[in-house]
Amino acid sequence: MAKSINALIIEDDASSVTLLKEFLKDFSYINITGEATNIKDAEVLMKEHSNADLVFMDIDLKGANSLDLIKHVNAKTRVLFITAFPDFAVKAFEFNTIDYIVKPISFDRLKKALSRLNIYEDHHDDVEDLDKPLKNGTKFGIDNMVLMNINDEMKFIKIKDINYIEAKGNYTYVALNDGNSFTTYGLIKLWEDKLPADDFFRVHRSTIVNLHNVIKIEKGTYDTGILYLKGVDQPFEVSRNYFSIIKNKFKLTSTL
Amino acid sequence: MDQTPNPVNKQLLSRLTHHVRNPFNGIIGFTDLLVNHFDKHSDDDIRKYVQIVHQLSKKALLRSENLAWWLKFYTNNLGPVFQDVDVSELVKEELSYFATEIERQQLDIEFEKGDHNMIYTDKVMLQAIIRNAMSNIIEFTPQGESVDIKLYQAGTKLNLAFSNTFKEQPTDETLAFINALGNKEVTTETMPDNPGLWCIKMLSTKLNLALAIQVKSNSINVSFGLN
Repeated sequence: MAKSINALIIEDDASSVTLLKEFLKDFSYINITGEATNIKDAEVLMKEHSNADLVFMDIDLKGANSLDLIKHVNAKTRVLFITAFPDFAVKAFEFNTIDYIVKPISFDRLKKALSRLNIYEDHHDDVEDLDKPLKNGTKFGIDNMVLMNINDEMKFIKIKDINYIEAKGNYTYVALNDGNSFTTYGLIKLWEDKLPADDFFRVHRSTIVNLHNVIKIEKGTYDTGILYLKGVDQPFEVSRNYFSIIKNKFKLTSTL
Repeated sequence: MDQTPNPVNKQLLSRLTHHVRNPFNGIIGFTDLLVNHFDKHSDDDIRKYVQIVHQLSKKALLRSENLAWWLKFYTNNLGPVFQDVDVSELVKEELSYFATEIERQQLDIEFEKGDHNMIYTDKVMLQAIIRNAMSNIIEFTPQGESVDIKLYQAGTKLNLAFSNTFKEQPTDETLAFINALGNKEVTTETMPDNPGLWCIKMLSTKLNLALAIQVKSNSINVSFGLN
């Protein structure tokens, strides 16, 4: 399992905190252990969490400058500044700063900043089922197995045995060919990135299916499709975009 | 209020523009999630993001309007147009405007009006005052709490009082602002951080409306001269 990173958020704007937390859902190894919205609370927080691994820090806290607070954390604590003010960048890099992001922040910009934590080298030290293939960008093959944590037990699942996968918020529901199923933590995008593209296909924002099990796809309304899968009574909706991609990717002629 | 440019005014303008930028930063961030990463979010997440963008857009509009008021005020272009105004109708309009926020915060809002609700004032400026007061009270009232809005006659005055049941101590920034209300000179130390409160104060001053922010009950009261 990956070791977690304990992080603090120091930010006076509530919507910025909400946004950052939404972005961080994709970085499950980061645990938010404390938050502060003003300079006084931030000082207390940083003293109490002086061993924090990472601090997300806004510089202007209701008119007060937060840079002086950094003395309260230990030298190993890394700081990621997220601020509306570009003026303090030079000063900010005097500290153990991994990046300095000027708002507005985007997911990709945050991802790039967090990549500087060298998270995989420092913290991924064993077989992290879904995460390890991401490290080198490779996908599973159809004959590979994936190690899953199912009800606190580690089990190997053959990729070819997966029938379909459905998004359930931050979790995914995985249905197997033999009728068994389980729910596991992780966004469906993780699966999409790792499953073999020739064998599995995303047909909807919330669904990935095993192409080997597709019985047929009927045309629906507004260029959508209705997909029937072996062993599943209810057909799946194929959204317009994905139906178009399927037709382009797998068509023999242009008559579809 | 000193209307000549000075370091305090410049810094206040800087703070106001910073406050205008904040909601736009949020809007761009949340729409980034929707535009570039739509597929990986659940329907519930998407609904939540759209609601937040909606609220941030209203906040951005309000703050832009406050900035515009400030600019008009300091360039002496704030010529009020006086007319008979039904204050209770304005309160109802603003309650309707903030219906989404009130529902999201699960606030229990009671509006009690009196027999006499008409005053002679500038309707648009009064609306800005009420909108800022309501925005503040919604933002700073915790989820599920109650808010009382009372319009009542007291002697020759008509009082509009916003109060909530949240008894938390006011922040240093709020205290600084309240202290600044009693001072002729606002300094950088006493400068309010809250642009909404500043706008209420500024417009109230121009309209010769009495204004009180009661520290203990976290309330905002505005008094109007009756017709």
